[in-house]
Amino acid sequence: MLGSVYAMVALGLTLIYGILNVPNFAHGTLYMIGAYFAYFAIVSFGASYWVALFVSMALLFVAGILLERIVFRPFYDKPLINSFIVAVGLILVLENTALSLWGPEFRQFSGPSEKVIKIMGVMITMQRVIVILTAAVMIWLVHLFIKKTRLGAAIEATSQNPDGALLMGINISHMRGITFGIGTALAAVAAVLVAPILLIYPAMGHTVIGMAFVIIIVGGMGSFIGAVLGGYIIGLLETIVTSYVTNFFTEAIIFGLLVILLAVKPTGLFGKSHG
Amino acid sequence: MDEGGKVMGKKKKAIILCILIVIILSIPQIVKDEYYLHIFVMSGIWIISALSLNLILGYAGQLNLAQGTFFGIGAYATGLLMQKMGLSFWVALPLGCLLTAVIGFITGLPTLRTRGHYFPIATMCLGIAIYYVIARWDDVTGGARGLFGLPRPDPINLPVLGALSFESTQNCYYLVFFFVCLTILIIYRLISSLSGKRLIAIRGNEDLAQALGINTMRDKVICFTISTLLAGLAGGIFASYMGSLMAENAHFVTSFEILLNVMIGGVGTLIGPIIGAIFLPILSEELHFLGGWRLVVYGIILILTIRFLPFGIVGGVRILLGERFKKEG
Repeated sequence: MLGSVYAMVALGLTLIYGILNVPNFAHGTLYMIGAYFAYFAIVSFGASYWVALFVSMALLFVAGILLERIVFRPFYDKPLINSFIVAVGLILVLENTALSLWGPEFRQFSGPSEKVIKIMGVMITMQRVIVILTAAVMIWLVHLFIKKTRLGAAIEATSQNPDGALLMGINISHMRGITFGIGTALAAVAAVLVAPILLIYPAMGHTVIGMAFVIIIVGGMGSFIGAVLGGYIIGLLETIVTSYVTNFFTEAIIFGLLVILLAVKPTGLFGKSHG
Repeated sequence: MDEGGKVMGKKKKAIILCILIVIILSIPQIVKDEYYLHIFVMSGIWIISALSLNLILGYAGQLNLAQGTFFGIGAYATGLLMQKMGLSFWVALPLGCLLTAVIGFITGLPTLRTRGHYFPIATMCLGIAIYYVIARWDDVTGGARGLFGLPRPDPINLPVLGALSFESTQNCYYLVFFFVCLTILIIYRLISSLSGKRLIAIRGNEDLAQALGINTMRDKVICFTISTLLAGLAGGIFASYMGSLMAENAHFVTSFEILLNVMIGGVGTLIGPIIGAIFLPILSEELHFLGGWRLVVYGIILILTIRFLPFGIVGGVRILLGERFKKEG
């Protein structure tokens, strides 16, 4: 279940990284914003869960395009460090806006079904099944989009070689905007899916973004399959460590493992070498 | 510039420096308001942390997003040594710094192997991991409740002036001033030395630096370790001055605040982080009426600064003065 969420967040992150060459530190914050949008769609406007999911996804898609356009675009030809710091600035802006507008308290909305079902002798809530299935469908859709459509092919081309793509007549700026939108929309879906199980609060993105970065490093930055597999591996690992070892230092153990992995193989398990 | 001009320049600089020191030293005599003195003390602590980050970011070009965490480690180490072991501040502080530097060294070894994008990410993950250890290790760090009742530094006995106690904000101001000067001295010595030049070479092009026979890994690790030591120093002073610690002090928001000081002031210069660390706490007081929106404004200022003034206030002043842009070495 956790694995599905991580896989989606990491997938969005890795798409953005692949095409913008920017590690978007604000991704977790956008994930949080997505959850709040859905919350207000449901609580204030009485939308159904699935409508809220769609609304939040659409809003975050637009937000992603706007952010890319306004915040990140001026920095493409600048030193990398500038983009990092801009992303950090974005976290400050978004998170504290959420904190000021909506307060620090925990919120929750319920999923479409509270039922508990039994699969092969294991009790599992319906929401968890929904999370797993929806995530799988979303990942599959993104995969189809990139591999089977012209737009997807253009995005892939841009990520492989921006200059080459430009020569082929691809509008790189558009591709970057769209990719950013898709990436943030994926984060929104992940957040809305998991919100009925976990809680919504302004700092909810912190752990997730940390984990997502662990995943795309483990999976290799910019690698599609690496992000998805890495997501499931880390989700499983976290569950195992929490259940069998300790639930106090789970994050510390996972981040510790990451640091060790980086020391041994700095480009990740599936990664290509970097310059 | 001929030799005479250089000497003149040096003399002028020395005079300006002396005047500045006199002004800074006389501030507590003029400003009697405890509250403003408190802000100045905090500025001093931020100056030390900003300078420590600037060392690794501005000179070696490595964005360490765990600087606030090392600040927190130094703070907790010093605080715990004083509280649990009953050590004096003057023993606890160096030990706390040393411990921070050891942790910095151990964590620097694997993280500094990474380059480009991976280093900020690795340090951010590191920061989150250490934050969780501090926030959850209830038995030692007090967990989410925090650490309370830390003593101020013990009085020191001066031969002529008698015992100097640090109960008053005024004396803490002088204490912090001393450590700021110490930090500036350490960093100044370091960057004017050959290893400072090597660090700048690494910032420029790490592969090229390596090809020229610089042991980039060694220089980076040394720089990182000193940088964490100084962050620990700032943390240790903070712990004793404030008397209480929260896990939030080690959170990556602290790293962001330090980063903000460096970037607003002017990264890669010695004076920039100092200006930033004086300017921001004052700005922060002015913006107090905004409440939680204060940090939103911070974020916007940060983004705009990077966009239009990549070298912060110092860079802006240089453009205004029309000076040919050159970075201080």
